[in-house]
Amino acid sequence: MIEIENVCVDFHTKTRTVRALNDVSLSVPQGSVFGLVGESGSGKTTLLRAMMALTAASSGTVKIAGEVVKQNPPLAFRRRVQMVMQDCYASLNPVHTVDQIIGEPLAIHRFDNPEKRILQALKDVGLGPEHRFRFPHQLSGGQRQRVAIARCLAIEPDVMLLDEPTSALDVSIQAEIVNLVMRLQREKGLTLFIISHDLPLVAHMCDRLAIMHKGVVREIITSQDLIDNNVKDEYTKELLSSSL
Amino acid sequence: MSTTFAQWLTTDRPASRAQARLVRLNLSFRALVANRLALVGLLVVLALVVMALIGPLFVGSPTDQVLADRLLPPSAAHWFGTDELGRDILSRVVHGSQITVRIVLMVSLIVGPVGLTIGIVAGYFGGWVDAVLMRITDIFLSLPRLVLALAFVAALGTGINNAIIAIAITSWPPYARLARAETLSIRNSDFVRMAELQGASTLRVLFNHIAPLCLASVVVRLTFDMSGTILIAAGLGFLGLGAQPPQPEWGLMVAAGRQYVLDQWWVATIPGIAIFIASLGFNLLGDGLRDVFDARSS
Repeated sequence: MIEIENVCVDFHTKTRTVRALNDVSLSVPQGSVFGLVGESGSGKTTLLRAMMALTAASSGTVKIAGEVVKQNPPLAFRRRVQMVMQDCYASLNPVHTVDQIIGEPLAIHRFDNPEKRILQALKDVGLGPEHRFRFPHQLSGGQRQRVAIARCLAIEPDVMLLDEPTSALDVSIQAEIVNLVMRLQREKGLTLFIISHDLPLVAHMCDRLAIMHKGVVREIITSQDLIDNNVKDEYTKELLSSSL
Repeated sequence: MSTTFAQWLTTDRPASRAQARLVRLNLSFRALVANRLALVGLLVVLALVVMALIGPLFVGSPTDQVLADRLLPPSAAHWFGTDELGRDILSRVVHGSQITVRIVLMVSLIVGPVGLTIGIVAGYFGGWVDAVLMRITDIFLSLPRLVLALAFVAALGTGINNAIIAIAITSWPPYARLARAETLSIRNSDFVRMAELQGASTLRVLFNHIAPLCLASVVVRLTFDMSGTILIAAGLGFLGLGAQPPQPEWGLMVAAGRQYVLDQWWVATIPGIAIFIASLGFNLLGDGLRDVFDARSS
């Protein structure tokens, strides 16, 4: 479903060039959950941005759902691939109600029966009809995250990219959101690509995960490997020992 | 289950989009009238509009001259007195409100959308689009408003419609700047990026995401500027370049009463007070609107 081949991203300043991603390759089969872990500055978000063509790759290609990702992809591609941003509050228009926020992608992609779909999307993420006409600032952090997820789910994507879906939430809400995402993934057969720096969380959610360090994928392992401490790479060992 | 209308109008869980909109409108309105000065402004503006709509039905003709009754002081027969041609000043002030409301309304309806559109297009696209639009804006901005309006009226000819066009042409640049500045601050925000990622067209991003966020400040500015518009319209009338005699335009009436201001003060003072109250009303309303919009964003 997701094929990343030899992607490099360079950031240029006046005096030097920083290689943020160095020859990253990985693939995620359809219907599976893939995690990307690494410390701050390891290039996780840059990879995600490159996958959505928000940041231009210097070389290499990203293929999602069989299509090469480019700056202005066809509308159908936009529907199939959705992203939930790290800061969910900033990703919701402050003057739009939840109703408008979830209704907008439905209108863009000309879905029929938006009324029913909005209510269904709210129900899917565990929000009631009473939240439908609230503004983002009238919702709690967890509810905002749910709205951000509902907005993406409403148009029935095949692939969802989640950037630190739980980093802004406290532990009890984190568990709720994680269970919600996992339940929806099972029900709808989504392919998920999750960024996190939280190793136990990734081990719980993902089938396989990649460990990134300084723009390089050090190792790709299964979550069972992670639990069994069955890793080969030096940096991964270091990361595991520091987090367990 | 029985709910009163008041409950229906203030519920925090509306059942339909229309109800949600009404609830929101109701709450904004309450916030506005809770501010006493804004309430005064709103009442003045409403009174002005009502006066323009139905006032002329209750007073006599604004142009009937009774030369025997020249320059009469305020009395029971002529509440505001009469002017130098024996015309009833009350009647002229009431009819004059129509001209004022028309000018304010037309100028706002032209200036708001034009300024907003130019501003958000310049801010969103940036680059040479921004450069071209903003330099044009700068050119208009660099000339004093009244002087530029005078030049336009001189070129287009006198009259109310030309005054409206002249005022509109000279007052859109600040709106373009305002909308551009607001657009720049939200153009790179996550929700705009998100809308693009969902496949929203440029038009949708501009008018669904960016324009509504700029609208609040534009509306507030527009309300503030309405008083300025009244003053400029009156100024053009005063200089003989706006409304023409015998039209009962307030600025024109002040100009005509200038000759008698020492002995027959009411001729110039009454329309002057009308101008003052109308512009004060719009200013107070603008203040209140700003507070309401600010309260929502915080």
